Amino acid sequence: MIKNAINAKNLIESLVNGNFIDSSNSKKIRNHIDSDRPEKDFSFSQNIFLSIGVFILSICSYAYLTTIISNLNWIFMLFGVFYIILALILSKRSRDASKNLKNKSLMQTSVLIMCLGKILFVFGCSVKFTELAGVDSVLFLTFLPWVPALVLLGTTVITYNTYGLNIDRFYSSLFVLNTMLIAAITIRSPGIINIYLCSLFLIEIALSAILILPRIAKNYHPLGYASLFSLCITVFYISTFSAVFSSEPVQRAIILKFSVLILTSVLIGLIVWVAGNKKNIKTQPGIIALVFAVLIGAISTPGITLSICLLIVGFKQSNKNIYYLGIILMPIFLSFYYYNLNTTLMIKSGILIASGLILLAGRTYIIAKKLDQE
Amino acid sequence: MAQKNVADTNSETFLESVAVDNDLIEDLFKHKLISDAARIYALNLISQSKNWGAWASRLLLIIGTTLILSGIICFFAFNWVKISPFMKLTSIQVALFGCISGSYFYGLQHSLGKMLLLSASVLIGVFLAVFGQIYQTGADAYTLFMMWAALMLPFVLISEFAAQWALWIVVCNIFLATYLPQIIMHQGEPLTYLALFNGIFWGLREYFSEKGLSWLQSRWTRYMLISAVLSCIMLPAYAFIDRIDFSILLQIFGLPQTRWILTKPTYFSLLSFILSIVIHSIFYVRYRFKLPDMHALAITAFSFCIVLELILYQIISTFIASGSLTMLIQSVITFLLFVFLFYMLRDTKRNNGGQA
Repeated sequence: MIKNAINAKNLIESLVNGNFIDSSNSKKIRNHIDSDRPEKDFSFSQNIFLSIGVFILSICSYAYLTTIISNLNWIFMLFGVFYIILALILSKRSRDASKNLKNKSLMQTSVLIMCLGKILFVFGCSVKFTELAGVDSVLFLTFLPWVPALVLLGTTVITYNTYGLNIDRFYSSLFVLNTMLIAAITIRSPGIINIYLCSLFLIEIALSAILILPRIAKNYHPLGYASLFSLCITVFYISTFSAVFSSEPVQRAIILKFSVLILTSVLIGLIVWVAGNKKNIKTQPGIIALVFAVLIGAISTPGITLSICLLIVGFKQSNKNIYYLGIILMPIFLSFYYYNLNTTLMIKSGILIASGLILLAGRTYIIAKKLDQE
Repeated sequence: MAQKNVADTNSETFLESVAVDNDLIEDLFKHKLISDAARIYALNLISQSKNWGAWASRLLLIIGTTLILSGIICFFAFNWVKISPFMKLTSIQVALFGCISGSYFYGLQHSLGKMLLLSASVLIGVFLAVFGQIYQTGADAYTLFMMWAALMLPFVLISEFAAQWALWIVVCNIFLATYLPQIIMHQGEPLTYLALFNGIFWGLREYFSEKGLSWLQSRWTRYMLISAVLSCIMLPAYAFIDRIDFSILLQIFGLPQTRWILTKPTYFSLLSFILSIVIHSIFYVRYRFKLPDMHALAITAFSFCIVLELILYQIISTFIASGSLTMLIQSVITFLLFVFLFYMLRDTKRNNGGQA
């Protein structure tokens, strides 16, 4: 689906032909792109083997250690810190120019140890908090769900730039945002849940924008991806988890409408961004795209709007991760939408066929206007 | 000189595989490899290369078609009880006839013709299932798959389409998996026979692929068959290992006794285990030395690791009572085993000229 005629070789040739660079610069660019090539010596199969070996070793070591220390709750925090520091040391030692087996193993081991360290530390802090607050106290019941989120947020902030591995940045940020989402379930007041979810929703959208804003350091892209994934999970939660709101349909409607409104605004913004300038927006395809965006917002769910946004961003940026995420989510949210329609199967089949025919009519229009030709 | 040419070619090939996006352009600008004017030019270049109209057209086609098909399925699902048996069978037969006609019209050289023939093969199974539902004859489960495989066979033979063969082999596997335990054997390992069955097709695939049949050149057919053979033989091999009483090893240190006493395994499971070793050896020799293929070798090595792990676990847990210490020692051995396999794959890759 993402067929981009421009590859690195084409780009360099275009720049040379356009007199933007000379031949010596072109060689430097080639070397620079080539230097970013993933490890030349390790194939995919080799990486899989190494990863499995390291994973089994780490999990078994962890299992062995926890059987020894399981009776000492406070030591979880200590071991958590120890693992985190050990991971930092291993990571620094493995950052060698040579990509050999030893460095590769050290790097992978450090990632797993960091992950285990953070889990132990968060778990240890939660257990310690329980001991200090007392199991039946109001303090415990109110704040326990937030302890993992806040502790993980703290460790993520500390290790984000010091540890510096993108996979750790991604997973840590993802878990921070998702633990905050899970904590929302424990809020008893539906009104406060709404305010909280709306705020979390806006934060996730704002952080996801890192991926499309220019001049943002690449270090923060894992945070952007984590926010994007969390946004998908939040939208999924808002769209499907009705048990919390089953007695408060008005509150549910508020959060749904809010999310649809924000995502429709984002979709309109993306269409304007793709168009590039006012002149392109005022053309017939531009106006139809905007009308389509408003209609989608009016009749569909936040999930469908989000999927369309992901497809547009992924295609525009030639970003396969975002594009395929949109492709995966689209049928899921479409299925939820039609499944939750409160009508008989007969009427649903009619709506499905009618929707399909409308989309095919749209395609016919594009072909008739020759908009699909370069 | 030859090595330099290979390196240059690899570099050019790599550059062709790198898709240019905003990130790459910004990265080049950040490292002062291109000017601001070049950056703007490059950004416009990638923006223009995107045909939004074609993209939207494809997307609307896929989603629109999917919605229509889903609607049709919902319609049938809703009215299934109300539809008469005659209508049910007739509609499937009409669809089947339509697919066969379409395949004939487009021809088997065209991919659409092949897809229609594949769809016809699927509809044969649907027809038999609906037929069985309407006329409750009390037949065994295997008869449906047996008839499906038999009726599909002419299509498979003329199709020259790997996916069609894959479907047929899957149906045959299901037939055998349901047939063998019921009719031929009341004990023993049907999976061993399945491994042999899939092994035959693996052999045929390799033979005809070497002869030059173009539609068999796709490697996924090799990997699918290797995975099928190895996964079928793994359970019988494990059944044999599980039945060996390794505690006899303790007596080796206490008493001058050197032979193992196999307390429970049957001769059939012993044969299955030997067959498992033979199969792994054949795949290893072929894909390491004769026809180097990293992925096939990796699948074989991974399967071998699992079998070896099971044996090692049985031995270690015999000697050591503590579960956690067993796990630790097992993990160290596992790690070493995987590192050894890592090096073996690296050597194969080098011998293969760096290609997978």
